[in-house]
Amino acid sequence: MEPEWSRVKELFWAALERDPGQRDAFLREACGTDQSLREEVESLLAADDRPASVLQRPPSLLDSSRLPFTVRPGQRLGAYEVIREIGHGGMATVYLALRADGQYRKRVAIKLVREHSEADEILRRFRTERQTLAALDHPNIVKLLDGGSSEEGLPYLVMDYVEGLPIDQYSDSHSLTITQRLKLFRTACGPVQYAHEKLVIHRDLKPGNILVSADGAPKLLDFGIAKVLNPELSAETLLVTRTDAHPMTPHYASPEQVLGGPITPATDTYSLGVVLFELLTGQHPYPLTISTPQQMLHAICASEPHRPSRVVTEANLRRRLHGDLDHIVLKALRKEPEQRYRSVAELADDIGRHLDGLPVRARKGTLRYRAGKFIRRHKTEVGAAALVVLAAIAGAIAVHRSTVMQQQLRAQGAMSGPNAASAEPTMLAVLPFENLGRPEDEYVADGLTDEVRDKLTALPGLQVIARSSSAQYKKTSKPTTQIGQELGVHYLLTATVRWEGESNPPGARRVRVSPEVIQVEQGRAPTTKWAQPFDVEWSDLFQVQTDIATRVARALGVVLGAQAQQTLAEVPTRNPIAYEAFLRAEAAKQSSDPLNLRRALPYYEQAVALDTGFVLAWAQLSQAHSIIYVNSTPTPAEAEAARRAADRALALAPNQADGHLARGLYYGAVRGDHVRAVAEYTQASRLVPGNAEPLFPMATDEMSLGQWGAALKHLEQAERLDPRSAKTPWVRGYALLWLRRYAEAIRAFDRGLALAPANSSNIAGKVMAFLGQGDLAGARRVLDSLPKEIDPASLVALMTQYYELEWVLEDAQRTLLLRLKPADFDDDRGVWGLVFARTYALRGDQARARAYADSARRSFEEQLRAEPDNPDRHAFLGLALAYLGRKTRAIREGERAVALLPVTKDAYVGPDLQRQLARIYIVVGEPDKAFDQLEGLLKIPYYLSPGWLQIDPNFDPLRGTSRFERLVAGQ
Amino acid sequence: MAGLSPTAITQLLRDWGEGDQQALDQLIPVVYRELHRLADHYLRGERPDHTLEPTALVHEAYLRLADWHGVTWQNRAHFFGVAAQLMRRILVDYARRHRAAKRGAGAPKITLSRALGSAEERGDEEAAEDLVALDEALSRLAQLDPRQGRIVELRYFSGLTVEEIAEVLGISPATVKREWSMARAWLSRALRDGSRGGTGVEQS
Repeated sequence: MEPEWSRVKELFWAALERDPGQRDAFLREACGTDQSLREEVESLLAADDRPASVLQRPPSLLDSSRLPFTVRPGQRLGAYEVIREIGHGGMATVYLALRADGQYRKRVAIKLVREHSEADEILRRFRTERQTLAALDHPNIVKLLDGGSSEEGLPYLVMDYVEGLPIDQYSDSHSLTITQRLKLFRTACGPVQYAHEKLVIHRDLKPGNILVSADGAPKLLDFGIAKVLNPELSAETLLVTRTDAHPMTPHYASPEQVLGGPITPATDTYSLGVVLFELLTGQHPYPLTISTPQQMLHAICASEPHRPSRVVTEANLRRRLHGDLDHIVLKALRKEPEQRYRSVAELADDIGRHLDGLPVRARKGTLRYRAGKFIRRHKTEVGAAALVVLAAIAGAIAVHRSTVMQQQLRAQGAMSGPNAASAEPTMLAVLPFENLGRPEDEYVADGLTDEVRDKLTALPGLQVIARSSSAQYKKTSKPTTQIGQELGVHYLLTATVRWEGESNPPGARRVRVSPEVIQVEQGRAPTTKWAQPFDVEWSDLFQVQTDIATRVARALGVVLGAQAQQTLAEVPTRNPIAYEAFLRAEAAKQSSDPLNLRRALPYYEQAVALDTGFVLAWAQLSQAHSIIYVNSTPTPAEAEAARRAADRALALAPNQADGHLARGLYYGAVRGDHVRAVAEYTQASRLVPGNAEPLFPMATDEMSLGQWGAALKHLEQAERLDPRSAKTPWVRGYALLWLRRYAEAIRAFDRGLALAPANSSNIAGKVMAFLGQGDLAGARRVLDSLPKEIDPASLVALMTQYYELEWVLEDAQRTLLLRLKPADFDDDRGVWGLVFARTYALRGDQARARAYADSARRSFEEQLRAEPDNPDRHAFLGLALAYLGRKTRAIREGERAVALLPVTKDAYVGPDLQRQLARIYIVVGEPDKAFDQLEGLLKIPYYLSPGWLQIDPNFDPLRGTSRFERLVAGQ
Repeated sequence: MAGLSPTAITQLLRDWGEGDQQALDQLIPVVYRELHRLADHYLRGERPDHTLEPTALVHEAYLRLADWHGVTWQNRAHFFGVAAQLMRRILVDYARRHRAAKRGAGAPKITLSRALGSAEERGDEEAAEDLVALDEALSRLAQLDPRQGRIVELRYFSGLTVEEIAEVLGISPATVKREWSMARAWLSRALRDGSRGGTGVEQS
């Protein structure tokens, strides 16, 4: 007799709760004589120890290739008789068929589209493309012969039948060497280039479409077919899986295909890059052990491919791939189409150069790209000016979610009677939420912190410390009381966040947030004012943000009107996937390094593609483009993208500060139109009066306009609103330096150092402030007592490349300087060479000075080929030429630099170019022209002063003349 | 797709959550169709390593169908509850067809070149056998203990968490856990003993 089920259950659970060792005794006792009951429970317990594997993993879908065919052997398709199936792809099945209309017998391959619904559309596209495709006549391209539709209305395409193996299989089965593989691959590039010249893009290059026939000739299949079958592939297709679209082989798809960007020949270059990577290493550039479309998208659009040499283990192979081949493959695989080879022919050519032992083209670009041009240019651009630009950008990019809601709420707060108005605002700091999950999911905690802080910032009756001030407490070990004291607040909001991310199936992607408001007071133990854990689905994240903000406000006694509650509930987007993409972008960004920004771009694009009304994402997208434009190769496309995205943000929300901030950056940084930039920032500032963010970039544009008073006012205002921000004081220091208010400048730099002891710019600024007062000893004292956080090598590099301060260095520091490598100057051989040339010239070692100047010259000339209108490169080149005694060209370059960016165009950067021109005149022996420049410089805001000129040996050649005496006398 | 807007679907979910069985009747065909389309779509995926887990499919169907913003997580759990049954049906149906195709009418053994995409046949076969065997065992378990059967379905075919299952079934999470442990043991034993399904599911 079957034992009673309820009894079995009861005993099973009871036994499970006991130690395995005691279960026997327990069951013996409990079952008594009922042997079958005991056996039943025992066997279940045994099964519990070894659960069936099928239950331990989620079921996976089965492949459908075994499902019944739609076409049977022998069946006719038009003039063709199907012989057998030879393959099976994303949306089509391929058959071997025979043309059998009595005229001649010819073997063909027929691609039959299985999807009914799109038949008409596919046929229409086929007819459109047919002429173009039929015109492709190349020995390595498999010809498209015909097209039609089956009796069932399924479209099919007919092409030449080729017997061969996919290029990767062929290479493996014939044990081809790397050189042979490269030659084969290069041959395969030929037909692709040919088709590009005929304006046909393949769109779906992969080993399966590059067959190698028995005689070793590559044959390319399916040219342009992807356009007929599958005109679009977008982020949405992949993410939300629109069932009416058909993803293409994602292994070989380029970022622009995945993101729905424009398809160009560079798309094929990318796919070829993946194929080449696989041919050389046997592996895919990205670990595509991924199961969700999001991971797929992420890999293609955001993760950097490994170097081919890094993924192979065999030492000889690794050596073979290291260098040229790494560079070639990575250049083909750039995320941005314009960063790849300009054509497939160029790729093939570079492989040829490598095979011939010639230097490859890819290397140059790679170095520049990887070296972080941004950093290099910033450190070298135009003296101190660069740093301010950098700071401006960093400021603008750290823009907060400043929305119209702040304005509304403040207005409401002001009107809600004497209570609200008279109450002293409660001060609160939102500390960075702690990520308890995987390190790579940090962005969720960061995003949550920002959102909650922004919501709280918008509330009247609550004053919240700005992000830039509280961000420093990330992973801090400081006691809360001390933090409270440093920030001047009585309440801290902290939280831990655990996000069970992509490792879990989407049904179980939960976010756990445990926020806590801590009350801190001097001399008292901190107390918990409020704490409450939340455990929600990802899609409920917005609700949690609102809930936390609301409850924190309530806990702090802030009265929330209906309006406040409603606005608190506003969300940046209603689409959780778009929001996740946005957070990823913000996390990828990290700094304003173009490399990071380029990683962030696809996420922003994804975010706005999924939610076209996502204002903040549009604004941030625009800013990223602007910064890339400024700090990487400036292209019109980048500028246009920046403008478009900013306009979009503004059109969507004209009363939201974000769009204005984005447009301000576009005008200021991309267009150099500081007037309009300031106008945008002013508008932004009006919309969010309590927010420091617009003020900072506004001030730097004002400096460029020569509006020093306004700039200082806004910087001071920003410092009040955001007292812990380290960047404001030192930028203010530089403004004061230009105004020759040296004592105040030193105080500003000291404040900057207190907030950011490792920031060398403060040291350099201080040194310059002493020099401005003619106090060389004071300057040296600064260098003698460096804070321990300062890295001497980077300080020396910074001082020399930015500010030409070699002459201030003491012996030990100068020795250190001459040991530095180009790598210490961000791999810029030009700047490195010029610094060395100047240093040796100061020592009187003319031979070495010339040698380094020549190396600098070559580098700057090359850099100018990429950016012909870069003013500081012209100035640098001019000085290098001056050391080489090439007077006429030296002067021409220096004058060109000044003409490109005169003081009238930029009151901050312009003077520095003018000083460099004066240096050139001095070196080439044109003292009068040098005086002309210097006399002008002493009359306008700039750090040079009579006192400085007296102690700076670079001006020695001018000494003893009456003009010099007048100059240093301040006349 | 038959025109039910996300809002309408959300409303149906709510109604059903409040006990309206007619809402469920309206909901099922829509969800089934959507799941089927998604599954079908993925089944045509070109590369075998891109098969998608059905729980992910359910999630996607949910995202596509429901106006997620207006849905509480309880509504969501109910949706997943419905989807679990449907997903099971779809999967098992595929598995059976797969087996049928394998055994069917002397279909010629085809040499699939990697060039044109193929599947890892052997792995598929095993998975198909496993799934059909599990489905049968699960039906037997459901006769013995309907609640355990339902829990397995929700957990296995829809990827619901313990808390969500508790919500769908109106029982405590602790009960869900206990029932699941028992169901798992029972099924494991049944699969190991079962000679049905051909291949044993012997585990090591």
